Amino acid sequence: MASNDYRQVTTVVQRLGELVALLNPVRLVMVVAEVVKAIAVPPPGDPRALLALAAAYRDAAGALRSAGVDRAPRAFGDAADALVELAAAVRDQQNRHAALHKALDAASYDLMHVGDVPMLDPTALDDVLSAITELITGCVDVYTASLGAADRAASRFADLTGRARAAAAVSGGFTPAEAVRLAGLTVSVPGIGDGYDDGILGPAQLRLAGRRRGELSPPERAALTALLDRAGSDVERAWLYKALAAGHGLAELTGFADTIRGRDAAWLDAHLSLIGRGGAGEQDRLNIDIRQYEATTCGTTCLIVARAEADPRYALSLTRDDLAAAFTAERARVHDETNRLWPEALGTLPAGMAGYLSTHTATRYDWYAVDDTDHREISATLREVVTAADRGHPVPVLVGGPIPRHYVLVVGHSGTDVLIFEPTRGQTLRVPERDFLDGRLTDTAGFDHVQAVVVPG
Amino acid sequence: MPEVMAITGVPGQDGVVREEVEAVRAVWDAVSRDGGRACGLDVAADAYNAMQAAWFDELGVYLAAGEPDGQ
Repeated sequence: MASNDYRQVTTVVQRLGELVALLNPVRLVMVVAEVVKAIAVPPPGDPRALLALAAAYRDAAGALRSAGVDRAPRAFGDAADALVELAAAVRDQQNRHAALHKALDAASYDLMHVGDVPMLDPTALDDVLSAITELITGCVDVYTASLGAADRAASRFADLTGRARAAAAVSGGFTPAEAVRLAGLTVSVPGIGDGYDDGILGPAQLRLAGRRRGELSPPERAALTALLDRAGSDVERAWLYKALAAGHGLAELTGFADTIRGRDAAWLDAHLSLIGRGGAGEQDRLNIDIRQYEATTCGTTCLIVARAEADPRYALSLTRDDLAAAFTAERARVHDETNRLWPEALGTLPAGMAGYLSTHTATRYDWYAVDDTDHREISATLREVVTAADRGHPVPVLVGGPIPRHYVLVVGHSGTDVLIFEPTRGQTLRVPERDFLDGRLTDTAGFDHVQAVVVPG
Repeated sequence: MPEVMAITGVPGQDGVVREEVEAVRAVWDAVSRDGGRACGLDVAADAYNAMQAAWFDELGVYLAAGEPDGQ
């Protein structure tokens, strides 16, 4: 096998499982030969080089901190931690693999020899059979651990990639100075905290805001300049850019700017989104619980929260006056809009979810069904979901048991945890990625299995 | 065409020693640029490479922000 190919390692794990099922005295010799071949290559990775990399990131973090650079030292320190963890995991897997390989060779020799004479030893069959079953199971564990460690590392690296927001802003057309400032402006929500690096604009929105600004005509650009000049703070300007990224024109932006002008950061955080993203906790806005109030509006509630995350002007349309009344009316309206050809009593179809987000946010969404019993498939899905979250896109996830039952919304990602807004409880929950991969979501999402995801296309 | 200014400054960046950041980035990049291979499986290697490239660019933005025409 190609030693660094995730798909092939997954196939080896599957094949080893099949071989255990085939194992009996008659087939023993054939199976042992195939297993020895299948596990010839140890789990890949270079622990020593990984530790050297970790040291380089750690040194850079310290030097950047001394040089007065914002945000980067924390990201570099987190990268070093992820590399150290990966090094330890790879070293452990390689050691276990070497021991298992050696034991399997010895068992194979015992099976094929009587004393030093090369001949099948029928008296050893039972003992060898049980020893080899144990060894193959051990190999499955080692390779599965290797896949898990790669998933964890990939996820942590993706989280850190998403934190490089200034580069995303520059790629959209902002000047470096603007980009550094915008990238450093984060949301802070009382009661939720600042558990992770949570920009007002995510990388995708920074890129989009810069592009939309570049597409304005000279008079429009002058009008935008005037709006920004009149803004009371850089935080206010960041929210204006977020509204620009959401696709609003100058007329809409002007009204929005007039409403938020002079408001402090706490007011802006409370009125321009519906949930706090800085960590886990109860979600309420202006003393109204942000949750699902009807039996079949979990999807609807997720859509409203997701749209509000992408569009501060939309969020303001709900929070400006009577949030309770506006939220109730909006649930009815969105539920109608997404269930025109489908009985409302059955909830919202994933296609309806994707269609709504594509129409009402600046991002096109698609959906697809997921078989979370297929490790390769659920791992790829998780990577896609957390990468979207790291870029600043909320992701609706359909969960269930034997049948699809409930929507939750992935709203963030921190290290190896996924932050999920669970609408029934009206809480953001911190869910270990392992639970997502292993189909153990009942305690957090209400049902164990991921059935479908609605992701940016 | 008047330039649209997003921000009023880059607080926290005034004390940045540009040469120092440049040197840190060079040393770190030399060690870390090809680090993906050490990560083993391709999904981890690809994600590592994306992270390394993103932060190389990010530090480049910090450096550019400190230049006279960075505004």
